Amino acid sequence: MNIADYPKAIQEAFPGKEVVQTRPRRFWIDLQPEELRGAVQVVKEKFGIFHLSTICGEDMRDHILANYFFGGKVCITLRVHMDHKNPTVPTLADLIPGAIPYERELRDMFGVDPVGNPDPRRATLPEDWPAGVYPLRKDCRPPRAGEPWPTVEVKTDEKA
Amino acid sequence: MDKDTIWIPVGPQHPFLKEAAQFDFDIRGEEIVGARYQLGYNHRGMEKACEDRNYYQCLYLLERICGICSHSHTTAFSMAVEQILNLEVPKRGEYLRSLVCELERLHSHLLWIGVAAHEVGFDSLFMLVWRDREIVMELLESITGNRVNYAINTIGGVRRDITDEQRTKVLAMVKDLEKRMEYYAHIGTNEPTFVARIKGVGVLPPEKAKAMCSVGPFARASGLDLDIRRDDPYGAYPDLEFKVITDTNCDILGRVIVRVLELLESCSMIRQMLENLPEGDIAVKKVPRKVPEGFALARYEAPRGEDCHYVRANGTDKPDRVKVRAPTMANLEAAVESVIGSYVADIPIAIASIDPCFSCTDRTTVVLNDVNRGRQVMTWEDLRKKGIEFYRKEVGISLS
Amino acid sequence: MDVIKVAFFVLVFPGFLFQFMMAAVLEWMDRKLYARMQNRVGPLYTGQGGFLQPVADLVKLFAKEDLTPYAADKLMFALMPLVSLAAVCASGLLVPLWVIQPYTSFPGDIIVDAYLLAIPSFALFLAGWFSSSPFSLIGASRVLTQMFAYEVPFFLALLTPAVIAGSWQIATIMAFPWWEGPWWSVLLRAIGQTMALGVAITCLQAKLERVPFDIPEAETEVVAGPLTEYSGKKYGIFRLQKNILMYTGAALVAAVFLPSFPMVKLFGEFAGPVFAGLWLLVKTLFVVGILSVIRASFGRIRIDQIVVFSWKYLAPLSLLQFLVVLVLKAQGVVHP
Repeated sequence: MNIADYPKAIQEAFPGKEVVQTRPRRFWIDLQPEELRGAVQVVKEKFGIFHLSTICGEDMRDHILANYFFGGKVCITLRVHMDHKNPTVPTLADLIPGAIPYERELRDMFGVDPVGNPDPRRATLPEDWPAGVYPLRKDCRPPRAGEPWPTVEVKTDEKA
Repeated sequence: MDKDTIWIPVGPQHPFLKEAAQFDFDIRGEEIVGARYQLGYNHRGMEKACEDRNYYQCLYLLERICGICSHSHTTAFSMAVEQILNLEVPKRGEYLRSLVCELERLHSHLLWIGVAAHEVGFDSLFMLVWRDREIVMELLESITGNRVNYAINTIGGVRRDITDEQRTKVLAMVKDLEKRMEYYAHIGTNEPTFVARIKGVGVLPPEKAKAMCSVGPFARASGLDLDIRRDDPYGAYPDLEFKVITDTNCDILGRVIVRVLELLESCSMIRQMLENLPEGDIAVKKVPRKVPEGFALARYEAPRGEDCHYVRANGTDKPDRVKVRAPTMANLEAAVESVIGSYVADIPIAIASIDPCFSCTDRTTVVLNDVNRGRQVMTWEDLRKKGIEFYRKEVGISLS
Repeated sequence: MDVIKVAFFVLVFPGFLFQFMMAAVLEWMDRKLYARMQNRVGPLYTGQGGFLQPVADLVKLFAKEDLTPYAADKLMFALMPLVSLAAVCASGLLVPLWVIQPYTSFPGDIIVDAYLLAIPSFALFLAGWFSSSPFSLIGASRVLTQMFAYEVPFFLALLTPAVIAGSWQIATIMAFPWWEGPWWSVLLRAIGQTMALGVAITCLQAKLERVPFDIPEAETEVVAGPLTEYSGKKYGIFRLQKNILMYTGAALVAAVFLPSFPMVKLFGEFAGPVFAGLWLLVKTLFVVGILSVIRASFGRIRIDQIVVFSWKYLAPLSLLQFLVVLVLKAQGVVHP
């Protein structure tokens, strides 16, 4: 398929969704969490893009966004919008096993729960990191020079 | 776990690991039956740190994610920001960027071949290859001013131009290197003790590589035909002619072959770039300090694989979100799985065959005060007191 | 007087002090050759051309902190380095540099020498076993597995010159007149000896645990194998023992395989033994040179590959040449 044919093909594959095109090879589609798995199937089957580059979470201050970047000849990004209270997203572990580490990182850093992810371990944070503190959210700020570290009353499970 | 299976931890400190990472292997006799990994030891919170720095400071910071592939990160970040700003880098700037990119690929692959030889105990090849890597470092130093962390990228182009004598010097030395690389290609595939260690080890079938989203030479050695330079071209690559090297061996021998042949391809690309170097500016003259709202994804073929940078700008001079996904993270899960079924002696070479760069992968944090465990941060005085106390109680000697 | 003489032989020459000096010289030569073959310089600064580097390393190790792990058996942990050093020094006394009957040369001493050379490997295994750390255990089991691979070909190879010379005494084997007899007899004997020499040098490299057979102590895999928990003086003694083992093993191989000349007949009663000793040292240096070249040319092979290689190629080869020599001897061809 030519690069020029992609915009039309993508709009046809995702009827009713807004497809943003920033560059000749970059397409961005906004979704809700429950539509994610269907969209991934479409990307895999219709466009033959099986490579998930990464999953990037963003804190947009009023909601949380998860970008799923699929890279092939073009990059199709599925953007899942969730609210702050209970961000969950269905897992892609059975469709694309390579998504598991990225979902774990999303869980660690943003508190997004990938429902059905087979690996409950922490990805990059240490095991005794307090639950409920998500480093990459905007309200978790490292202190400026001279300020004290924010104290969070933490309680881990085991005694050292 | 039955009685016969013992669990050995490899890491966080281990002679074969160049950086800290934890691998746990369940072994029965000499055979590996289970493997897990745990990262986070080299996490420096770079993505969070980028949100407080303006774009040029970010460039400086991202360069230091990794010493070996520093140019990858700055180039990918610059490409992303240039996409948001809709800047077009002048041709000469693109060529110079790609020139440093290919030189970096040379030095990284040479480093890897030396390290792989060292992991299997073949120190002679290690010493010889690193001697030739010194030539590449010298070239990089003459062009950019530094052996690692080149700092040649800026938003909108490159910072330094090359003179004609530097150009002839690079061409001459690359020709020299090509002969030696053919020799290493010959050794890597024919030396019996080397091949005996890498053939049939760390096998990763192509379907698994596809499912686990592997990238770079690791995936190409399993037959996947993925190369960002050809699939999603950037920089000078649309103008260059090169082959994408794949191999059907699916084991470490395949990865050696892919990397060595890529060395030869890089040499030919460097020659093409230098012979057809266009005239003109090296960077866009006026780059706005405040980047308007927008977002962009840049993909770059680092020596280890696909490097993704996602940048979102919010109209200020600091980015709103920077996401770095280094290639090693994509390959690590697959590498750890490919080791299962091999012997303990194959662990170092199998993990090293993805060319791991854990500095790129982690991005750590420390719990400062915990109700149950008390203060985790000790001053020098505390540490000294604790050490004296320990030796007095356990060993019975007084060190005060 | 006898006691003083014995003390001199055991402690100074050809005993401990001389072995220590030879170990230092041989390690320097090995490191320099290895480095030059890799386009490097090797030791350069300590002493003229780095000559004193092995001594400096030993002194440094002796000055470092000596830790014993909590769970290790303290007595055995401390004893193993000394046991291996004692065994190697005892076998070093049997090197026929200065033949002093009956102290250092007696019938059957080649067997005693070969057995004494096997003790350091056992001591290494026990050292790893009693360290009780997972890496040492893996390393210790590899030491034993490797022993099963190379001991049999080594013994068989050593027996060939003994059979040719018709004696179990190293001095007599050395004194065998290899140039006598019809030319085809000399040629057949030379071929048999060369095959045995090849097997013996390969097995010596395996006994010394050097590349390509250094899997027990593979740095990139099991940290340091059986010696992981050793540091300071104990580790220094293990390294000293390894160098003296290199001297003894190379001297044994050089004495029985490489040709010697009747020095007493050529140079007289007084200068003869001196020249004989010097010639043996030259041959030892040659053997160590070959060991260095082997070390620089290959990578490390896995333990299962070592066992397969040894039982597929080394053992049959050594058996074959032993049988050939036996047949030749039975036909009366070997003895002139």
